[in-house]
Amino acid sequence: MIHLRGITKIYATGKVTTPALLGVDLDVARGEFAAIMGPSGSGKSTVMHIMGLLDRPTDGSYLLDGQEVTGLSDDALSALRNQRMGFVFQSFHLLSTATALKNVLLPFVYAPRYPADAEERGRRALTAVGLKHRLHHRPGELSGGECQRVAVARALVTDPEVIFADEPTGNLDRRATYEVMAILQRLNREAGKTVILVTHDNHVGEMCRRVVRLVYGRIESDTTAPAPLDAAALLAALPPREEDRR
Amino acid sequence: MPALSGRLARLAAAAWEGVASRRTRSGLAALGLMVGVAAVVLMVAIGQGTRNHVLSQVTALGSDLITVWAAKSAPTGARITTSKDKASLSPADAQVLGRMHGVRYAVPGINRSQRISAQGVTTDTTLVVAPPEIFAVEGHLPVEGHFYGEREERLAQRVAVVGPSLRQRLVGEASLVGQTIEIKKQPFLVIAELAPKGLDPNGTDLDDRLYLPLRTGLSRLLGGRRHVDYITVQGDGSYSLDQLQEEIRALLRQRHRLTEPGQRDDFNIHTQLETIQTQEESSRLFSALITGVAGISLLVAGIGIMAVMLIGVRERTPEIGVRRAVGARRRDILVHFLLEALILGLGGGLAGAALGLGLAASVRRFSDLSYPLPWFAAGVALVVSLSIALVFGLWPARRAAALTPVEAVRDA
Repeated sequence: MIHLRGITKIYATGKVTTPALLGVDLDVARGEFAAIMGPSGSGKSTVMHIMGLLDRPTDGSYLLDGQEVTGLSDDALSALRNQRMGFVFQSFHLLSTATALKNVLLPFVYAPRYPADAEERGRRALTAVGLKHRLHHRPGELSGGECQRVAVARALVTDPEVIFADEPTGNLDRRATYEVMAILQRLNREAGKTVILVTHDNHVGEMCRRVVRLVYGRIESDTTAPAPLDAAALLAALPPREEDRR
Repeated sequence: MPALSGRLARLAAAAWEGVASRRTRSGLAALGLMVGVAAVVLMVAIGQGTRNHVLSQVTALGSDLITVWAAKSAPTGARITTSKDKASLSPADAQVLGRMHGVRYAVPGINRSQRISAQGVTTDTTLVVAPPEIFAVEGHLPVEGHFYGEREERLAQRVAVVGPSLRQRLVGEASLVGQTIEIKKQPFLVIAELAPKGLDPNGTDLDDRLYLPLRTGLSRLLGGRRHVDYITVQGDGSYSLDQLQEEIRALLRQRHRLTEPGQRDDFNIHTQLETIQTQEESSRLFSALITGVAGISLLVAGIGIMAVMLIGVRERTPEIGVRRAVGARRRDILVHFLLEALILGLGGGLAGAALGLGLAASVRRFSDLSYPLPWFAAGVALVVSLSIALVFGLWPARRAAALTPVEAVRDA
């Protein structure tokens, strides 16, 4: 589905040019569950931003389902993001003044046509992440884990082919991490969604079938684990929470 | 494109949520516009009221009148000055002017300050010594009694017509008609009271007056004086005031034997039209000043909106980023923030128009100004505030739209 060839990204600020990616070749097939890992400054977020069409490479070729996207207009990229991709960010990026449901419906604001069953789809997405009872809560009334699950619901409400997650568990505790990862694994397993996430957490990496490691803007290793950890099982193995015991 | 219009509606809803969810900030941003618009609306109303007031005063005096003064320098405005040393105008001049083609009335008169007393109260007032035609020329109506006529004039009878302010000062709400007023130890019978006229453009109370027949005044109070201070001329409409003025000038110069071109007039001609023009001029100046001040205040309001929106764009960078990530195009972001600016402009403009109209209505109620409520000015001010919001919202909106998704979404 995704074919990167010779992707280079150089940030120029004034006279200083900072190379972030130095020729990355990467293929991701439909249905994969891949982690991009590496130390900070390795370019792992940059490569994900480029794959997610949030950023443009300085050089190189990006075929998305056989279509070269590097030369597309900003409007065309926006449409592709809207219809074929979902995003999850480290700090959630929810609209703090809107309810969970409103947040989840955000992609439909920019859809070519507002679906008649938008609300129903929003409810289903929130139900899928276990927040059926939080539809009308605002982010301030939700825990970090719940916020990130709202963000996941927002990413999947348009039924995209691929979900990009940039450090999705970076701000979460262990339990919330397992919850979010369990949802992503289930989406991958049951709905066939391609999941590409960036993380520096090795434990999270162990839950991903494929791990691509970057160092200094180049791919250092690309490994596939035959049996990644099951987040749902890890969650179940945790000692019960305070409020669950009561 | 129905899809596009549907999209615009969705963007408008998003913009409305953006404004409505930040009440304090949005309110403050719109406050400047509100105050500016309210000030414009109120000032337009008061300006109109002042103009109406002046016009009604001038109309009360008679806007089609020409006054010839026995003086070498023009009186300032319509102020009545007595000129004891100028003996240039006579009742005979008035008679001749009255027979001119195009003249309906030419009424000679003398105005002077005079101490009078009635029912034990002594006060100073303006004595108007003039024949009965003065009432027609000045457009007076009696509220009580009858004005003096040809008979009283011819016989130089001691009768008087009193103005309401003077009557109020002498006897309060009681009537003076049928009573006597004492002037220079002579009794005068009050035979009528005038309907109120209010103040003239110079602030002189036109109701603080006592009218006497001309011959009565000349022979009984002014020691047989033969000249008058002024002649008030009313045209019959067959000439313009300018033409009539020139005819009068020529005739009087001839009668006064001012035949050499170098000789100066021994009289001055003044029209109410000049007063109106002066007043119009000053009210135009006033309007220009108000417009200028309003313009500056709306400009300041616009800068306020821009500042608030620039801060908003900076603060909401992640929000812009996430909107871009989920599919917003640059122009969606641009339109979104322009719509937020327009909502602020509409809110501030509507609130300001309502406030201005409300203030105008209460000022009208609690003052003696009268004017129609300035709906049109309110509409114009609303459109102006929308335009200002649009113009000053453009830069912040463009900055928001210029953010690339990745720089907007990148975690700080």
